Amino acid sequence: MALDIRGGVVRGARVAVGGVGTVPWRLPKVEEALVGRRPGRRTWTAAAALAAEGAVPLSENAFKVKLVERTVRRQLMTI
Amino acid sequence: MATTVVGQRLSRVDARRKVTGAATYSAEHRIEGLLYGVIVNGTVARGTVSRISVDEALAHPGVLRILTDFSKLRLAHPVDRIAFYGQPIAVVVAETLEAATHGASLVEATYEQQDAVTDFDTPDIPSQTPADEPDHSRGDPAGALASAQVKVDLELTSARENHNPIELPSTIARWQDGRLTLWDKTQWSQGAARTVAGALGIAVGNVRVHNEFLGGGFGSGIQTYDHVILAAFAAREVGSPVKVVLTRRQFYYGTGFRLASRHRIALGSSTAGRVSALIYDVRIENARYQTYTDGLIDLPQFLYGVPNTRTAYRVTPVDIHSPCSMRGPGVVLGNFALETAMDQLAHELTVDPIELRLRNEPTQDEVTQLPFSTRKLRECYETGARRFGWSRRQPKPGSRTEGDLLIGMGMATASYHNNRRDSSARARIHADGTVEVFAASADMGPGTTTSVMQVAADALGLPASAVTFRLGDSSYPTAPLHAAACTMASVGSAVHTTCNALKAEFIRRAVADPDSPLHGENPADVHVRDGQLETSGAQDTYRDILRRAALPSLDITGNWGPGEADSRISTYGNGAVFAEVSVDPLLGLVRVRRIFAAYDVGRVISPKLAHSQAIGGMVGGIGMALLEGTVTDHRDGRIVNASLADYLVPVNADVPDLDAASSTPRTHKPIRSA
Repeated sequence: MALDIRGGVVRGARVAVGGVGTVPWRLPKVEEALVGRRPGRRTWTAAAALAAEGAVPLSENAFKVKLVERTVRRQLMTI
Repeated sequence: MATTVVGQRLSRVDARRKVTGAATYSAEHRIEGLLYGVIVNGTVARGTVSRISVDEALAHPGVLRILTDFSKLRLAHPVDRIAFYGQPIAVVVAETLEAATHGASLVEATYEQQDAVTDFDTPDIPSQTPADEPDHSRGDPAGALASAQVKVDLELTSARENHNPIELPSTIARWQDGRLTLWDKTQWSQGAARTVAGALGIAVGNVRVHNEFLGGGFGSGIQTYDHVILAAFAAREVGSPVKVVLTRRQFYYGTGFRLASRHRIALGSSTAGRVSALIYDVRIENARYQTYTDGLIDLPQFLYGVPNTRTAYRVTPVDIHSPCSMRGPGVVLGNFALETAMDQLAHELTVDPIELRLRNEPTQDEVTQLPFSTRKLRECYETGARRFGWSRRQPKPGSRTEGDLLIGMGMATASYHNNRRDSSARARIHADGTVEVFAASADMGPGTTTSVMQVAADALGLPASAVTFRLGDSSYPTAPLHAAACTMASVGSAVHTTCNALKAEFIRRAVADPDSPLHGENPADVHVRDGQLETSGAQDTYRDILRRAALPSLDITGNWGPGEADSRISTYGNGAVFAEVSVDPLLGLVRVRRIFAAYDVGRVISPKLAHSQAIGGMVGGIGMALLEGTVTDHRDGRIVNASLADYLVPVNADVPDLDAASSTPRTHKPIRSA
């Protein structure tokens, strides 16, 4: 996770997760949702909610949808 | 008896050899003419091998022989068909491990596959009541639960787990003149000798098993599995010594495991916290070809005083290999259910969890109706609570936070049956005053080599440096399996008895010997200290007694057994374990911050080793509760996470400060450490 924050605004964001697919996975929708926003809990929660958008889970990995959203949110909260 | 060596905080006598690589483990023995065997595992859970093609493998340089016909062997499972995924279907023997491994990859099998069920949660498959675990009932459990003022009724599950000791199962087999020698990673050399002899149809007297050093076991080395038998079989077939070492992946199919379990536990209580009803139904996964039960109902039946109790044990056979004992076998699963229910009840009643347990402390073992040998749980709760800081606990869940984390404290009762079994030992005093003590026991990590030496040293009145305890050879006097916490209580007791008998023999010889300064003394007046046999006025030594008799050494073999003690008393080691954890509510991430336990395990022989056992058990508990779990792909029965990369065990980052205290018994109980 790399965020470029200047003047109180997220100017650029690169977010990737591991352990959710066969390769590390970039999360462009989360990145788009961050750029142009002010850092803070509301921004983090809204962006993280997009982390698994479009995912088609199977029975054995369905838990990862919620987990990846929350992991991204938790990581954003450390900023 | 003067106790000077027992109770000393000794380090392991073999510690230096272990950390410098001088300790030789089973796979490390250098045997002339050694060949390498690699097992080929089947890839269906049920069916038969219709064709097996070995030509390509045999053509690989270095491959000497491929054995595929096991029909003459008596194995634990059927040999004429496939009963579980990973069942051995061939052994490739080659000049090098590399050639054998590559050869194994070239063996091609086709199967006549049958529908297999590997998931014991599959609907509508039958379960059975195991013969050795009949239903237990006392009072009117259903009526008492129905009329109880407060109830908890929980459904709980536990995952399959694998032992994962660092040393993998390994066997070297060598035949000489019809006699078989095995160097095997086993927790029971004499059990291994019997099983291999039975499997091959030879006399047990023709099998000798060496197992001096074990790199962990946790129960995975109690039974003797296919790889041991196949190593011996292959060595006989090819006429050369053969070594078989399972890979980590093969370990998950080639030994047993802690079975997965499904529990329903219900407690009924008065508002005053007196538990009147307990109903416990548990179901476990099992193989079809043999039944293995695991003692899950032991603690729920007796740990608390509950007049109306019912327990029912069911096994569900499916197409898997057989489970086996794993550290704290069965008991930890049953106790997980019981203690979770007690915690929940304490919460419902708003009673302190310790107080709830104290209110239901039994006055006797309510299953056997026998008195307890000792039961100092009250002291364990008090000591544990004080040293842990239990008074700082806030009972309302979620009431203590640190940043985004929730911080909580909890406790549970620990209990384990005090197993003792018939055991023998030989003790020998040499002319130079040194002593060797022998028993066919093993030391998978608890430090038996050290702690049993301490028992022998005190019995003979010698310093630790004079005594060596030799184990790890099936030709030594009889010892039980090195498991189930019975080694010190059994082997230690046999060594104690034998060394006392040897000391008495020396005293008898001294007082009868006209040349001894002790001649004519009453044997009861002779005491031994630092190798000196002395009365108030005279003294003699083991060395001088042997010198005068012109003997290079003198030895004696003795036996010990628990006799009928279990029909008179109920004997358990007990404890109270306290933990503080943090929970990240967003992620469900649980981190253990500290654990403290107060144990009453009887008389502690070797405090440093016992402490290691106590905190080692906690590490196992962290793994069991939070990290471990074997995952099966039920489409074919393959284990998905059969590696240390995918199967999580506690690592340093998971293990915080751990500590434990042992109570000092007022009276001597049977001795034990591990």
